[in-house]
Amino acid sequence: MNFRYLTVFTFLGVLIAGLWFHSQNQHTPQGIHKLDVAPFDAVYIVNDDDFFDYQVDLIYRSGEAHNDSLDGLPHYIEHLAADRVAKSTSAQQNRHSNAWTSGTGTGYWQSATINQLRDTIQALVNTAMPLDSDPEFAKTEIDIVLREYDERLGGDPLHLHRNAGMAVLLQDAALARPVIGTKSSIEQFSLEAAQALHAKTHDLSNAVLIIRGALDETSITQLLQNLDYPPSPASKFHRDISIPALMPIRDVAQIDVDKLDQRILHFDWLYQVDVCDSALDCEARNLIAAKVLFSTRAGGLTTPLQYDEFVANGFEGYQYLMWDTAFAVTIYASPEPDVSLDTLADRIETHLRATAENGLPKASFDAAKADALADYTPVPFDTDDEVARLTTAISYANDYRSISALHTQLENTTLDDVNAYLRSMLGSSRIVIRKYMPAE
Amino acid sequence: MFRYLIAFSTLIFLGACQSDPNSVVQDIISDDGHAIKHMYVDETGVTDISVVISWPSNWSYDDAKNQAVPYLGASLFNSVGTAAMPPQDVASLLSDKNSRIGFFNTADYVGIEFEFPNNYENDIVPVVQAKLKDPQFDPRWFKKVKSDLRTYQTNTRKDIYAQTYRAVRYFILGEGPLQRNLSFDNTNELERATLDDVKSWYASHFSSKPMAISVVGPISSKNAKTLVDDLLRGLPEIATVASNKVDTNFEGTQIYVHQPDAEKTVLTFIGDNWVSDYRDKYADLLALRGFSQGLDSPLNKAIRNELRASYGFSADGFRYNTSTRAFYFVGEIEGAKLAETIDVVKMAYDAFKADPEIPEFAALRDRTSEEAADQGAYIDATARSLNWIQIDPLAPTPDDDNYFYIDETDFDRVKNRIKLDWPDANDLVIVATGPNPTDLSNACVVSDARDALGCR
Repeated sequence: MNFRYLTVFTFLGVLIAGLWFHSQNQHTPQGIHKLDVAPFDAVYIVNDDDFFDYQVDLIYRSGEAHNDSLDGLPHYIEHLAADRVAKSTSAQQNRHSNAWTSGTGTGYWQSATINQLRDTIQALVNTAMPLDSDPEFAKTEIDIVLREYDERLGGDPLHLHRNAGMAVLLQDAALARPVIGTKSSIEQFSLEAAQALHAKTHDLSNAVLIIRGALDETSITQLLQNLDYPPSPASKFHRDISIPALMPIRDVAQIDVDKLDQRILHFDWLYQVDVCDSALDCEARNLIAAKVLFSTRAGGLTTPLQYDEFVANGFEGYQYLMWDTAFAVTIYASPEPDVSLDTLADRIETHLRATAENGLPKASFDAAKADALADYTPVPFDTDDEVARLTTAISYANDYRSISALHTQLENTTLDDVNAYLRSMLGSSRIVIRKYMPAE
Repeated sequence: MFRYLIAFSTLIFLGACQSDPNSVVQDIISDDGHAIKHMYVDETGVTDISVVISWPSNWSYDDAKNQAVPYLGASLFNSVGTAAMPPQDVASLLSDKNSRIGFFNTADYVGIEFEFPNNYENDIVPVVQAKLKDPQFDPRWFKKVKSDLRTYQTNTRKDIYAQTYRAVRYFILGEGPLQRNLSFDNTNELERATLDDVKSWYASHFSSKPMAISVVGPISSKNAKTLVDDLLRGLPEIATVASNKVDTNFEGTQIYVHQPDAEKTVLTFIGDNWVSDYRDKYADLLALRGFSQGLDSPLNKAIRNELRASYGFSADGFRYNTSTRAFYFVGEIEGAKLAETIDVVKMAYDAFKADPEIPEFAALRDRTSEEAADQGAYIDATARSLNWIQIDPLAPTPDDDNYFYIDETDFDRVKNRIKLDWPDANDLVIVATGPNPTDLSNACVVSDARDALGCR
C-alpha cells in the first residue's frame, strides 16, 4: 500500500464528507433540537458547528434504582455492555469512549469524526443487543469492578454508614440503593444475572440519544432509520422508584468508625415542598436559597458556625432536589477541637430553623439572586453548559429545562417565593443525624 | 492560554498606551518600573479581570527554616480580614461580588492571585491592597489555622496515596528542607511554628520587587499599570534571590510501603523527565497520553485488558520545583498480582520506548490541543500561565518568534523524545503501598514512608 496515496484519499474522503454534511446543514439552526425517531424514547441533536468532533451519548432511563437484584448489578452490566463499544471500529481509532451508571440512568458515549458517526451510533445501539460477553471476560471483569470499588470507596471508612443513613432518610426507597454495590454483592455477580437484568433495562424505547456536532435533522433521521436495531422487548419493564409520602422522623445516632481520623457530623434534612408552581419554579427557588444557606451572607450558616461561634472547623453543604418535590439539605461538618458533635448539630439545626422561620434578609436574597442569574445566563449561548444540563436532567430522570427557561424563572422569583419555599422545611420532614467518632 | 496565544507573537509595548489589541500578550512597563505581562480581552460575556503576582523564595532550600510556616502564612492571610473589615465581611464581599483573593506558596516562589468582575474593581482592589500591605496577624485566627493544618496532617497520614508520594519524595529528594516543605508532614515543625515566624516569612517575601506579574481581562494596559503600581507601592524593597538547586536521586528501585490496615494496593512508577528544550514538554504530554489514555493504550492494555489486574492507570507529568521534572503512572491493583503487574508494565514501557507507536497521533494531538484551548479560555488560567512563563526557566521567551504549541508537535519529535530521552524501565522508581509486603518480596520494604531514605 502506498501510504502517500492513502493519505490523499483519506483527506479527500473527509473533505467530501464534510462538504456533504455542510451542504445538508443549511436548515437546522444552532442549539438543541428534539426529534422523534423510533425506537428511541427521544433523540436530541445539538447542532454545534464549532464543536471539534462529534459526540454521541446513549442514556437508558434505568439505573441502580431499577435493579431488583444484587446491589451494583447495573454498574456491572454497564462494564460488560461498554466493552462492546470499546471494541467497535471507531473506538479502536483512538476515539474517546466511556460509560457511567447512576441511580436513575445508565449512559454510554463516544466521540467520532464525520465518517465514523454511523459506526459509532451503531456501536452504542449495540449495547441493547443481548448481552453475549465471553464468560471468562465476564468473570474477570468482576475483578475490575472490585478494583474500581477500591479506587472509589476503598479507604473511605464512612461509605457503608452513608449507605445505611441514606436508606433511613429515604425510607428504604429504591433511590437509596448504592450504585457501585458492596464488596460482597460484587463478588456474587454472575453473567447470567447480568444478562437477565440487561434484557429488561436496556430497552431503546426507554433510552435517549444525544448527538452533538455540525448536524441537520434530515440526514441524522435518515442515518438513524438505517441502523440495525434489536427486537423490542415483549413487555415493558417497570419499577416504581418514587419516594413514598414522607413520614416525619428524627433519627440521631453516634457511630464509632474504624480507621476514621477525626470526628464528623453528617446532617440530612429531607422535606416536602408543595408551594412551587412547577419543577422549574422549585429549582429556581432552591438555587437562590442554597446560595444564602451555605455562604457568609446573612441568613446563611458560614458566618455563625465558622466566624461568630467558632464551632465548625469546616463544613460542606448541599441543597438539592431528591425526587419530584422532595428536597434535601445535606451537611458534612467537623467541629473545632473543643466543641462536641452534639453542640455542632444543635447549632446547625438552630440556625437552619431560624432562617426557615424568619426568611432571608432582602440584601441576601438580592445578592444570591444576582449570583444565580450570573451563573445561568443564556447570552451568549454556551453549548457546553446547555448539553451538560440536558444530559444531567436525563441522567437523573428529570425533564430537560433550558438555561434560558431557568434564567427567566429566576428573574421572576421573589423574596416571598423563596421564603415560602424555606418554610417548607418546618413542615413534614425527616432529619437524620449521624455523629461519627473515631473508634478507640 | 493556547487559544489566545496560537495566532499571535508577543508584542512589546513600552511607550504610551494606544488602544490595546484584543487577546494579545503584551509586555508592558508600569510607571514604577514593574514588568507586566498583560492581555486585554474584549469578548462578549467576559467581565472578569485576573491578576497574579509572584515573589521569589528560597525558604524551602534553607534547612534552618521551619517548613510549616509558608503553609501557615498563606492560610492565615486567606482567612483573616483587614484592619477595617472583619473576616466574615471580607468573605461576604467576595461572595457577593463573585470575586476571590488567594495567597499561595510553592517551592520556589510565593504569590497572590485575585479575580474580580471589572465593575467591582473599586470594591475588591482596596481589600487586596489592605491584605497585602497590612496583613492582620490575629492570634485567634493563627490558632485556628494551625488547628486546621493539624487536622489536615492527621487526615493525610493514613491516606494511601499521600503515603506513596511521601515515600517517593523521601527517596528522590532525601531528607532536606525541600522535601520537608513539599511533604508538610512534620507535626513537630507545625507545633513549633509561631506567629512571629509568619511575620518573618511575610517580611522576607512580599516586596515591591516581584518576579512575575500578569494581568488579564477587560482592563486596558494603562489601568493595569495603575492597578499594579497602587498595589505594590509602599511595600519594602527586599533582595530575595530565588533558589531551585536540589540534588535528586532517580535511581531505579522497588519500594514497598507496608500499611497493615490498607484495604487496597497502590502502585506508582516515577521517571526522571527533565527537558532541555521547552518544545519537548509538549512532546512528553502527547507521549504520556499515547502510552496511557484509553483502554487500548499500551499501559491499560497490559494491565487491564490482558492481566486483568486494575481498573485503570493514569499518567501525567509533575515537578517538585522549577529544576525537577518527572512523570508518573499510578493505579490501584490486585495485591496478589503486584509483582506480575510490575513486570508487565515494564515490558509494555520498554516496548513503547523501543518502538513508540501512537495510533491516530494527529487525532490525539488535535484533541489535546482543543482541551488546552478550552482551558485557556478561562481568564484566571491564562493569567496563571502568563505568570508561570516568567518563572519557568524552560518557558518560551518574548524573543521567540512564536510560542510553541501542541498543534506544531510532530510525531518525529515525540518519537525521538521517547526513544532517546525517556529513562529505561530499569531506571524507574517503583513504589507500592499496601497491606501485604510478601506481594513484592524483592522490594525494599518500609513501614513508614520516611524509611524510604534507607532504600537509596
